[in-house]
Amino acid sequence: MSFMQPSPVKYACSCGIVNPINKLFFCRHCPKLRCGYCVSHEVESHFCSNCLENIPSSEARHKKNCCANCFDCPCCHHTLSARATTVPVVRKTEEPKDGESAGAATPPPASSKPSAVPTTKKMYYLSCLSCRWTTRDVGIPDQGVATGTWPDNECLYQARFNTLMEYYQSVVLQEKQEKQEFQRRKAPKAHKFPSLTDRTGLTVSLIRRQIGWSEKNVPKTKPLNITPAEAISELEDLPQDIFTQPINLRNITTVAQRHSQPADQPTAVGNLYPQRRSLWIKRSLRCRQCEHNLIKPEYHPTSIKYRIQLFASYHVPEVVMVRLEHPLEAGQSNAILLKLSNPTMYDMTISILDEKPTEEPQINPDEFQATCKIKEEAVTSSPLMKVAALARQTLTKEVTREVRDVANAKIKLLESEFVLNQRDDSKEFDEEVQAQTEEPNFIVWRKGNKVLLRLQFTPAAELEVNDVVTLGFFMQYTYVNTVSNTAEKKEPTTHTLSSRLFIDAGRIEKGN
Amino acid sequence: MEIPDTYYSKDEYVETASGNKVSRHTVLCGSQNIVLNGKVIVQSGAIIRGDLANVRTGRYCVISKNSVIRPPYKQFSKGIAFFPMHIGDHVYIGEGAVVSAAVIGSFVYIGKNAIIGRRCTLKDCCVIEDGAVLPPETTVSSYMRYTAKGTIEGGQGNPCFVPAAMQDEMVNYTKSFYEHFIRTPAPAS
Amino acid sequence: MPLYESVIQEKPPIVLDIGNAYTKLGFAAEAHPRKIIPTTVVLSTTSETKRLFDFADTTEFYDQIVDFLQMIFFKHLLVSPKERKIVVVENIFGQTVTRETLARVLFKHFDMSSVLFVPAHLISLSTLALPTAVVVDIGYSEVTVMPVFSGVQIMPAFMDQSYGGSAVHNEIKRQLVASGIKESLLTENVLEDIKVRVCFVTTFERAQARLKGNEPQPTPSPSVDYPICDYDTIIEIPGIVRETVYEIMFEQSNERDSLPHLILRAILECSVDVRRALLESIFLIGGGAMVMGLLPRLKQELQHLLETDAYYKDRFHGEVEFKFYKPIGKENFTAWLGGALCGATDLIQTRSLTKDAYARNEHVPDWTNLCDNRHAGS
Repeated sequence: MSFMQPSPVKYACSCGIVNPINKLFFCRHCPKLRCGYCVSHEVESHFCSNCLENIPSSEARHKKNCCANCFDCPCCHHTLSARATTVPVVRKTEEPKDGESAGAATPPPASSKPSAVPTTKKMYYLSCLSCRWTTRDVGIPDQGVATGTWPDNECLYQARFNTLMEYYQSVVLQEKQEKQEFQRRKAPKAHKFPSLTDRTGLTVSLIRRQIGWSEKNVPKTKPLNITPAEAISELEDLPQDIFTQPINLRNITTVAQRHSQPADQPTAVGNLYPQRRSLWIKRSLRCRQCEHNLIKPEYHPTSIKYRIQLFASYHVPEVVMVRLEHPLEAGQSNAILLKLSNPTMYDMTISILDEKPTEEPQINPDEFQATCKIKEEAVTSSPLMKVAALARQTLTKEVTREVRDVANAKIKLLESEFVLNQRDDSKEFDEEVQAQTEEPNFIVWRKGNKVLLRLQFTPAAELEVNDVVTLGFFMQYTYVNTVSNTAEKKEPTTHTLSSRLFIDAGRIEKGN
Repeated sequence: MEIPDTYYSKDEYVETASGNKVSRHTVLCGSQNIVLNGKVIVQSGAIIRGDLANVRTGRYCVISKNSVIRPPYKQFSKGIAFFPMHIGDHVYIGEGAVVSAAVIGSFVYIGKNAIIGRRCTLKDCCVIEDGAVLPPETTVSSYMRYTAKGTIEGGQGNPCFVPAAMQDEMVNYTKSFYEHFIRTPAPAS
Repeated sequence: MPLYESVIQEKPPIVLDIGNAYTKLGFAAEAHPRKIIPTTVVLSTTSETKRLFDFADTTEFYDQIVDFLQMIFFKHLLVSPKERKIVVVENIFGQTVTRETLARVLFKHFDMSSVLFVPAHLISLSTLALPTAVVVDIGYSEVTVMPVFSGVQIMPAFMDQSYGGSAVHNEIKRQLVASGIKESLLTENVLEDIKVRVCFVTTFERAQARLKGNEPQPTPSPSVDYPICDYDTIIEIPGIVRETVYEIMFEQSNERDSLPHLILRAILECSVDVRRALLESIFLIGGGAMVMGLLPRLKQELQHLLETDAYYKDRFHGEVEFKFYKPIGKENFTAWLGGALCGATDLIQTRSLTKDAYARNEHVPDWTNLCDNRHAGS
């Protein structure tokens, strides 16, 4: 059983989507579970996944999100490797035997001293180690440097595109100016009397004219002239040999190959050129409610560390399914062994419930929003930003979905709540001192921050053979929060939180 | 899901002082060139070609059944040369995988029957899917997942494809794999 | 000029053209899309791949669009969508649910600052710097004809038929299965590859000869051995298949709905004064228009109809010569290119639907909706 397999234990995120714990995050400020769907993703840094070079975002934008040094194969999209070859440099002076063989070029007398060792030069070509395509296949000459000047895709109609763009920009600009002009001319008519600014405006423009300055208002832009495209009636006919000559599929590109070169989309294999490799990004995730980061990776491409990492598995008791006591049978009582572990530095009191506990109003949402706003105001002093921030808060909330209840077994609740001890890494090396305490009988064993729990349940009687049995329950736990939203309270606060869990226990094996 | 216990017989596996558990049914060529840095499991049928070049693994690695660890070579104009291979800590190499990488970072998961071509570089915290084939000289950077289809997906901070807490996941997984890989208890007699 | 340099600020707007088969994506003021990707989505929940427009209910569609755009922003364009502007090229007769859901995702999930919806047919013309043409979009699921005169789309003259790329795929499949090839081999990808790499539109003369059953029939093009790697087999594609699959666009029937009929009928729907201008300016866009031999065939078919069909003879007078426009760039991203031009102008500031406007009534203004048109006169 590998951890790459889907986990049978799933937690319901605060947005209503069910996820295994390793896909969940825990916002300490809210405090709620978050998943990849209900957080906002942001681009943290750009890098090339082949040469592992970090590329600043301005440079990435400039390079059109492509690496300057790495190339992809145009055939199979794998990375190309540079291959070196040594080519002898043909010195025209090397063979000073006969003038006839050297041809028209006469050797310059300065370098007439023949060297005994033939000089060689390293030349590079790009080769795909996956499909064996090389730059030599399409007749690109070898380059003197590995990261050399490989041909870039150039856009044949770039000039025309630029003209079009300038043309439309000026058209739109003119339209805008006309509209402004129209409004300006319309505006004074609304007043009965000419206003003071109008009069001064007049004098100013008069004065300007008198002293020979140019008119203050911008000269009207005229749309540039553009030659529209011309319709043609002479069309390219089908090549006649298409009806007689067999085609060679090897020379015709596939759709994927064409699309990887979107500008020219070559149909012949001979027009495929090395493609600059696309960059990759590191993402940071941000809680939509409180705008705090949940994940912020380290900047460097090779670093695997995070500057901020609020994984759910660091804050929420982890439930691992160990095994069932009996094979599953519809309507027959059974028991499941679950291993719970406490990842935090504080003891947790846990109880298993079958309906949502009435949540203590730990954080009043409005009050919380207010504190967030205060914080933001402190950070962003400009009023414009504040407006934007306010607008953001009204909009960015995704609609919370109802958790889809798929549970089809009756859980026998535990008689009491129990305590899950804090995590203590040093205990791992301690001698096992089993302080024999009175344990409730549903606890099978306890070791450090882990507890093995026996939970009885009965799958619904109407289940058929091969139906999946899903257990569903609420786990209520105490959580000690070491961060606080308000500045006054420095003490860690204790919350009682609850998570809804679904456990995929397996399939019914026997009918009844 | 908790990893179930795997039992091995006393005759089948050798346990070294540093906690390595190495099957007797393996082919370890050039064993003087193989360094297992402790708590490494090498299961039956695995082949490690230390005779070609040095092979060095970190702690808590799992080299599963029938996998092949083979140092990479590079062709030069005057013949070929083999290069040493380094494997980091907490690396899982799945059953039947053929690994010819130059460097494997730490916390790497290589799926069943994956083929890692020569001189590949697998950075820390990457995942190779079951049955994926990596052409030679591929680099898989951190938090990337190389799929069986031959595409690379994921990236740090992407909640899909590779878990964000890949490091912890691999540490837990390889540690509990080691803890649950236990000798069959001697029959009580 | 400094005035419109401010338009292309630090963050160029994103331009998106989500087609039924392929999505074109890139940035405004660039001459070609950055990527052309299949319109399929890998679901983040189950990691299965499916087509974006296959959905049972709007929630499912919403989730698929979220996953799809997530991939576009973070895998292909590598930009944070937050507070960015976007231009979406849309089919003017597209479903309301598509644009409403898309707008909801863009504003609610991705927090974008504004969306500018531009109609594909009209905006394609901007790449020609022309105000008048019959725009024929040969897409994946349908072929649409929209006459545009002086920059105004003539809505009542809009025509559409379903013989787009997918119909051609089905035709290839039908013919190949009839020639004894196992249907299981012919996946959608294989069919598309066959269509693109070996098929073409045959000439008018040969098609007529086939139609009339003339003896001797023209010898078909050489057949092609086509390898299917996934199944390790080679199938033979007969030359007749290569030549005739596109005939579905020119099939004569009483419905009078073949492609030439569609264009002529669309022109006839327009007022008499503009017809001649439209006849001399036909503009084919869409991936389906890239097939070899389509233009000359279409021209001959049109001329032929005009000369022989009594209905058209009565209505079009005088010497008529059909003329076509060549797009800049490739046909399959012409509409995108129009969007990129549009996004480079000040229109992105003035005509976009902003987040605040959307927040007021959570609705995208639509030309078919009377409420949105009421104040449009000013």
